[in-house]
Amino acid sequence: MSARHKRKKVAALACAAAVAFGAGACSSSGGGSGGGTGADGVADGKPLDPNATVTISIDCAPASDQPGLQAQYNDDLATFKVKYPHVTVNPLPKTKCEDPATFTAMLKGHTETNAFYAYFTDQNQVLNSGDAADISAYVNPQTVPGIKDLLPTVTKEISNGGKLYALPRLYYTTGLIYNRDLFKRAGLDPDKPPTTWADLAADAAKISALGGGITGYEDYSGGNTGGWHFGDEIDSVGGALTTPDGTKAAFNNAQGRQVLQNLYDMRWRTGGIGATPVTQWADAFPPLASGKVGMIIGAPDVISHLTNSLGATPQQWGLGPMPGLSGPAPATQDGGDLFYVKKSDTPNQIKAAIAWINYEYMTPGQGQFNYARNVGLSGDPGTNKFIAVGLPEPQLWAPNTAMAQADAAALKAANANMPVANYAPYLENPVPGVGEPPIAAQQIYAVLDNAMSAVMTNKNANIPQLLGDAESKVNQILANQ
Amino acid sequence: MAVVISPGRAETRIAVRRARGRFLREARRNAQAHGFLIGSVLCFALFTWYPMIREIVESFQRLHYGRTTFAGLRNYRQITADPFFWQAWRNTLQFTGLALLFGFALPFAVAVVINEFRHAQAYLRVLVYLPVMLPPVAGILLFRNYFMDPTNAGLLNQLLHAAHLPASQWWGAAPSAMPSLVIISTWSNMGGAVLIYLAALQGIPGELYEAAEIDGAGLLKRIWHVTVPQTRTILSLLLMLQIVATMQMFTESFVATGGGPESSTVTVVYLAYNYAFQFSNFNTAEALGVIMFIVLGVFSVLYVRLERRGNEA
Repeated sequence: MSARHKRKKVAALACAAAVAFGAGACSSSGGGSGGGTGADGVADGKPLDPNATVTISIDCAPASDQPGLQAQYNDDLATFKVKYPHVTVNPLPKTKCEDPATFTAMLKGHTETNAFYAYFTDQNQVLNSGDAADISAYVNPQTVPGIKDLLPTVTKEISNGGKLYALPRLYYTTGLIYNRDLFKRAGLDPDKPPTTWADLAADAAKISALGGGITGYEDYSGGNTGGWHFGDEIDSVGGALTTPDGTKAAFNNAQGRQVLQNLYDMRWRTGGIGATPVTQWADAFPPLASGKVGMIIGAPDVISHLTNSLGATPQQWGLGPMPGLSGPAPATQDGGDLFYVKKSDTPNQIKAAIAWINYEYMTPGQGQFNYARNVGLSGDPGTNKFIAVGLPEPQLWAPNTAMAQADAAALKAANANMPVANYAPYLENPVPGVGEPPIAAQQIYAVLDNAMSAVMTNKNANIPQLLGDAESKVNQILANQ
Repeated sequence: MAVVISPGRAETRIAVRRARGRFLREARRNAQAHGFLIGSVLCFALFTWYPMIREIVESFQRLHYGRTTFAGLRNYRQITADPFFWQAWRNTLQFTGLALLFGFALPFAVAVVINEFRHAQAYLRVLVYLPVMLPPVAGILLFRNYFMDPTNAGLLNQLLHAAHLPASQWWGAAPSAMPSLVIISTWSNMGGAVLIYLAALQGIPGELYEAAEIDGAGLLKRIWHVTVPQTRTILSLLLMLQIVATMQMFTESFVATGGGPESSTVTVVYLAYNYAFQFSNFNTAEALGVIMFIVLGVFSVLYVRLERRGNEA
């Protein structure tokens, strides 16, 4: 056999082995990165020993397309390092903190970072995966001073069955986002957004009358977002999606009909809603940012998305309370996000993760609440270096608690770069938040997408029939859980 | 004690030794090929067969708070009781039927026309293939937002308006949503099929057309009696591939319509996606995947048998 032939054979075998090993490497599930190089520590309820050497990874760090927020995050990492010189925090940058499909795949593959981001509504699937640590033994007023001052609704979302599983980053209640410039052009008072659905419909019609492809109001109708907004809107007129225990549909009634009738009238009678349906979460924002839509129901962070990512001017946007029947709504859906800690972490990694989350997300005057520093680091509005300061969120603290007061004082001292006065209608009319359906929320939303899209795309939509059909489908789904 | 070897046993030994030598020589000669083969087989085993087997196994399991248990047919009962299950199948079949009508016949017709051109064939091939090179999401959004906007600003509605025809709501209304997705899908995918048909057409000997022309056959007769029989194998192969691909339609629904309006574009794969990634129920999504796999498997077997019977006849 020639040397050349031998070499070829060796190369072939090496290649096959590389493929085999490469494939094996790809198919193995990675654990969390890092690990304690010293003692693993114990779950003694004490804060992390500043001399402990620990490495943790955490996701939801700002990505390179958000240089302003990235600078803020890096500054926080450096300050944290001074306090814990032997702790290494490896951030995993993400443009969008959670993509539902990737998130589910991550849980399935058990490839979470040591501390990992999730929405409130992910609790079932996170606990089902078996990957979340019970951190009850680690969290107390000594390790997380703000824990006792959280809003009760937030405390409910981070716990399950009497155990604590997560620490919060953000909480919000839905309101009305509106374009103040379009309000002025339509002869409306931008300081007085509509507080009832009847007023909203009338204002939407006036804005649509401006012409040039401008629409007064837009609402979702696909990708499970239609049902989500139906839930928001039925809460706002005193109804609910399901019974309190979540086992039966509760929307086939006068309130449910009212929600759909209102949308139907705006689309087909008064012209407040345009012909192009909004079928995905992200589809709503380009027309808003380009000044083609007057109003939408949404959380305050919609404004930061419009200004930070889509280059809209902060002064253009106002925030009002969720409209109701005779004034601001009696209730509206709430939401938020949080961090779980991975079950396979060592006690010291859990302590380090808690210390970092507490520093970055739960301490007035520090991390995300370090408003003065954030204003200083912020670039110009309309650029991706802009850091919005002054929006009414993350809303973690219960009113009149020490944390709430400290947070308000820090904001006051910082000279917010967002027009805080534009959010006065929202802040002066606080609407209590209610959680999403406790069972099969996304499946319920998928069913109600049908009714939402029907009233906004089908002139012959039969509202009682749509609700009756949706009710039987939702009950069928709930009976099968 | 002396061992006596009978002549028969000695011959057998020699024969075995020769066979072993042949095998080793063969193995040595093919070592390189086997090396490459092992890699491919391992890749298939790890990334195709193993996930398939795993999917079937998991479709009979249930994950609850980190514990996986055997669930029998529970996931299958749950998915078949889902109110969208039958609607998703109806929508999928509607898409497949329409996509075959347009997506199968149109590329063939386009290939025949391009084949008739003596000049500019290369340019036409590039033009037809261009949409395939666009990333699918960009192509779908381009078509949806600029061509098929349900308002009067959409290009297609402006064309309809210019022709004094009523505007359409396109993907913005239930009756026209699925046909709109078929148009988008045909536009973005037909380039590949056109190139395959063109290659087949160019393999047809010119003498056949000349003979048909001498016999007085016009264009349509030439296509029917020469082109179609000569490209039959390619046509039937693409037909089967097209049916399998269209039954798995997802991207168009996911990107353009979010399953709406009125669930008119919820397909089987879209429903499986929803179960896995929106409803966080992987096991039920896997049960639906297995049902889809069985349906496509049965179809493929039937198709191959019918095809074989057709060839024998």
